[in-house]
Amino acid sequence: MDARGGAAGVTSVDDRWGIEDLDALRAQYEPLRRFAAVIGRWDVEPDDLVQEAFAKVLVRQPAQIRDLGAYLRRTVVNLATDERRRFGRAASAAPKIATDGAAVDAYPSDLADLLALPPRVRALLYLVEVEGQPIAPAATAVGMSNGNARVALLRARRRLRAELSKEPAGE
Amino acid sequence: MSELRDRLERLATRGSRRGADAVLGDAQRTAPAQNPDTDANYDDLEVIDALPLVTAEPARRRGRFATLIAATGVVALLGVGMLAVTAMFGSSGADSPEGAVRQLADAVSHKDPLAAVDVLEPTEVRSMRETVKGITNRAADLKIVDSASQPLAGVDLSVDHLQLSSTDLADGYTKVTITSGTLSASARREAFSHLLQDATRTWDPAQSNGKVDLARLAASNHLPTFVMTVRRDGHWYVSPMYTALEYEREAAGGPPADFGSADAARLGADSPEQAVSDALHAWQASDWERLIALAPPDELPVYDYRAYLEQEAADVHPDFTIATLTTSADVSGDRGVVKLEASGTMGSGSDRGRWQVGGTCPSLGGYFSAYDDEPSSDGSSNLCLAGDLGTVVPMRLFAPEPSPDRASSGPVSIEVVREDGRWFVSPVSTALDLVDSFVAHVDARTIYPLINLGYLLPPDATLTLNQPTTLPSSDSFNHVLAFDGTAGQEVIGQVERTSGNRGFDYYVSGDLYTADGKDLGYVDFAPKGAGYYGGSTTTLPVTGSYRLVIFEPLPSDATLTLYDRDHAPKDLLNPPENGGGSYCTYSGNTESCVGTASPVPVPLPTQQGTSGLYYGDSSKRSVATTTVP
Repeated sequence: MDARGGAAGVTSVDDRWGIEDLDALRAQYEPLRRFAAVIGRWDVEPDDLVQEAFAKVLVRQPAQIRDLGAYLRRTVVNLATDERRRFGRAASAAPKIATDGAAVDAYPSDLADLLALPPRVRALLYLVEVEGQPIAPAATAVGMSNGNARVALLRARRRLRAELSKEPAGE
Repeated sequence: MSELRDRLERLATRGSRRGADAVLGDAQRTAPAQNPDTDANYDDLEVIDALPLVTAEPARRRGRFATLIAATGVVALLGVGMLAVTAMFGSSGADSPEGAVRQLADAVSHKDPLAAVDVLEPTEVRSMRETVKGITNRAADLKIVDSASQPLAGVDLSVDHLQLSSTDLADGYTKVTITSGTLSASARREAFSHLLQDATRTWDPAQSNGKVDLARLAASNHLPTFVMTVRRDGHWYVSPMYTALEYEREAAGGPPADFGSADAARLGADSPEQAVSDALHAWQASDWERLIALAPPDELPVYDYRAYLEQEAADVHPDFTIATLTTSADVSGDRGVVKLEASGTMGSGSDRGRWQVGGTCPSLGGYFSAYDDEPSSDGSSNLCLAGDLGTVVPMRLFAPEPSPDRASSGPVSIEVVREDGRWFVSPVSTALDLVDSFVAHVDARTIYPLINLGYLLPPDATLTLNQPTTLPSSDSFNHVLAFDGTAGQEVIGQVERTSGNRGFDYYVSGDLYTADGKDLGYVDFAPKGAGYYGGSTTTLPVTGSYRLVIFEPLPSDATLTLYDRDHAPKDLLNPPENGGGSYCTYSGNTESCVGTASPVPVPLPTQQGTSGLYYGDSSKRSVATTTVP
């Protein structure tokens, strides 16, 4: 599987991950895919994010990972944030108020406000609103302080609620 | 908020599904061989401390070292600033590119700002002197540091085992790559000012030390760590600007820079006013070549990187118009300030709005009014910058909401500089002016809450439990409230607006402290009748005086009520969004409530099959009660 196998101390995925370990990883696919779909960029396939997260975790020894699900979620948050940053780099090369060329996504308009939120905040919303997690563990899961998470949720909900309340009237 | 949940569910099921086996199989094929005991080649980990036996979730870019720096951010900022302050005393450079980098490393190790600034490109750091001087003095005034001359007291830095290699990119421009070396940092709280000792009272001593592999700082971008050096008058200096631009270019794989190609005499504008006007029009017209030509070559060498920048910006088309534009200049020698007032439209279709620079921008009250109604329907601008931006813009970096409770008005100041007889817009000086103004206005009420010391501030008002309180009008960002509580009491807050659009939800959350500064968590104030965020109470641990520190700005008509659990409205404790309680709605000024006031258990999320988490009926729980230790 790997050309570097055989070098002193270097191990392949098969060396590190047994069948049971891989089964545990496989079981994370569905919930992780949903999570990745919520926080990833619209033009990035959720499966691609999950695959990249799996690849990162496969580098590790399974015994070193305290909580596989939490580890994978945090990795997906990091990947999604990096993806968004990479996309934004070109646009940030010159200052702008708005662009009509950078945004190529063709997502449903009623999801635009959700998708405009940073991945970390979307992840928070998903964990709290859909999975029903309390804020403190959700904040930990996405790598935010409790206080920052609360403020981020307040602002996101207020903004989204304002948008939701406007739509029936005319949008 | 079920609509929000529905939309999140729709997002959760998007995309083409390859299946668990295919995704895992592809991941196995792409995962590299690795020795995790010795390789630190993880994009999501920067710190190279010995790996713990059990690995926590990957922290993104902010390991212990970064946490250390963040926690001592103010001090670190001042330390960097001191480099520029001391620049006025001399700038001698080094004999070679690698010599400049080694001198900088030695200066960091010895916390010797004078030596460090000696090898920073003098033109680039020149404009920072007064700014840093102001920051240093203000920090001492606010007692953040004991001495303005020793801002890094308590922070120990060490650069070790540094190995370098050099690559000449052009005559007088050399890239110095760090092939190995470590930067260690440690903090000694006892050497901090009393205020910073308080601010870091919850520090884990284990997080006071960190070490980073200097050769791998840019590993996440698949780049080596390097520093750009430039030769000026026969001496070599480290150039922060060239370093930053070269990193951006290499990370993007852009075309190489044309080093030293900027001839100021053929660039810029004839006058200060024209420089600013041309810059705005070039921006609006996506004329990046012209915009780049208006940046001062000595201060911001973007002209050398024009091929890369124009390539990157090729698809960027600002969507705004310029309807009015007036400028006036105040020149002193080779520097000047252009007063700008302009306006126009931005966006299109339903997103179309107005922008405005200069004139009068609404106050915080206006902001809330605009939020209540349609933001642009009353003729106010969607983007408005006016007057002294130092009182507004920097707070956007720190505070959760944008504006103090006062209107701003007047033209906006843009710094310009003359090089070789031509005028250029100086973004660095303009930004530093903004920082200068912020520093001049910043006070303890702004800073202390940011470093968890808000409880030290005099309270704005005293809350009486179960009694509504309207806060006094204030132009500050942060509010500190006092109240007396009893050990074991469970408290929860509610906010109500007494005028305007009462149906507009407004949430408030305050950090809770004992009067002597013990951090007890937080108290939420849910909007009356829409408490889907409510339900969590906080238990008071002792009988005595407490402080609530609120970051959110408050509308002048906001009334806060802090309830103990026994007196709290039922819909606040068990909000309808969680399946119980009464539900109150507003129509005009009429309030009507429906539903039951009795608590209803809330289903826990349960696993159903393999397709995700859903709310089910099999597991029930009551609304959580938060107990603070």
